[in-house]
Amino acid sequence: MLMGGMKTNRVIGLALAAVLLCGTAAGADFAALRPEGYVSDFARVIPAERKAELERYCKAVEASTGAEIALVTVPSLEGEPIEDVANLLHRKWGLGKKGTDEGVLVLLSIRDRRSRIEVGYGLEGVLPDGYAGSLLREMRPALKAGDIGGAMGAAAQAIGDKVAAEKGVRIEERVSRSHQPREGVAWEGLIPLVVAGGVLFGVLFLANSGRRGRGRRGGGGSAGDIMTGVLLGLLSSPPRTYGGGGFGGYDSGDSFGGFGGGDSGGGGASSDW
Amino acid sequence: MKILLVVLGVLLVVGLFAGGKAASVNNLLVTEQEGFKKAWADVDIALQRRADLIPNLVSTVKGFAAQEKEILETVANARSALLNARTPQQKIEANGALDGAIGRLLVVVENYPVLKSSENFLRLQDELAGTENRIAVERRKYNEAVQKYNTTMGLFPNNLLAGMLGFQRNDDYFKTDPGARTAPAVKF
Repeated sequence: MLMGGMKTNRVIGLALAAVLLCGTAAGADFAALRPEGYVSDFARVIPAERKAELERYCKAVEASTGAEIALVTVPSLEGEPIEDVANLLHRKWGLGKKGTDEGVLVLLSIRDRRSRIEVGYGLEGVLPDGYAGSLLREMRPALKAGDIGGAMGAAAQAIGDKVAAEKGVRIEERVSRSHQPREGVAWEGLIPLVVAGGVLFGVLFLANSGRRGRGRRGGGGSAGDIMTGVLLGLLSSPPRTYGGGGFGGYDSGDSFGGFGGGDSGGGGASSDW
Repeated sequence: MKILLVVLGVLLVVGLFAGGKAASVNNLLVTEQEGFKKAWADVDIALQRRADLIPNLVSTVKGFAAQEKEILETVANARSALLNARTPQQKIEANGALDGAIGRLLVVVENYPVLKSSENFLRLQDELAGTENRIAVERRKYNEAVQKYNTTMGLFPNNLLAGMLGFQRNDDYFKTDPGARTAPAVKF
């Protein structure tokens, strides 16, 4: 029983550690941002399931066409023009293979309601600015409805289709048509938060009752277990390799090997919603 | 005799060293010169691309607003001025003039709701804004390349050797004017 309790608490600790680590991304310094994968949801607005689906899709696009798509959300542009931020990220991250430069960046800034598709040198012919602009206009209704994941999916699918058609290949993967995330998805995303909140509450409550002198010994012990769990969780969680230069570890199971060092000359279009 | 040999030896070593240094400085500067020439070529492509879009823009606007002769003519003239410009400095100036003309044309277009909201015109605007952004990006890359070259040249001992080797500072920077860049691009 005691062992079982410790195990559960350790799991809770791990979950809490994961939540803590996830919350530390995003910052005002755009040059310091590193890709989290094909999808870099710095604004934390795409449900986990949708994100995994988009990861799979972008991976399939790269596997069959060689083109690298990055889907990025930021909470705010911090007063910078979206064109500059998109170009900076595109070049810093090196979307597309070096030499062919076949990369596309879809950037959404949530608070400014600004959107941009930045097209690398190698895809300027396949994705002219006018086409990028109409894609952004088509994303508007979903974005207005707050369905960021849906809008991203539609854009990624359209870009993937266009590039595949140009290269005469087929992409096996598809993004699901349902724009609205299925019910329950949002709840799944909330579970770690709820658990973490519960754990915190529990710790505070137990610590408090302990101090008042009428706490049971067992209660104190379990709070200790939880703290041990948190510590163990922090220690045993995989290290975040944000190494300078190389684009390192991504922690959602699917391996992401980093982008290829491609360049962009500022092609694409910008819009708002 | 012995002293003469030593002096000759020292002179030889110094000479070899200086010669080697001069060669490496020369190679470095040539490489960086090629770097900014390439960057300028990319700016030129972006400028050319913009000039190529103008006839399309003019004819589209004409279809809806033929009476706006004056502004359409200004745009067409600014375009030929850009195409006729030869030196980087001239091109930089002509591009600024074209910026102004297009900006005024887009203000005029505001009075034609049907034109303004047609998909054809929207796409044209995207192309135009995209081209302006390309010019801005290539311009930044060009400035970086020129700055790198000038810095290399100014460092000791390169500054002593560069003059002898016939290298000159390049002062054809683009004076970036952030306001001018966003003005015509965003307000549609």
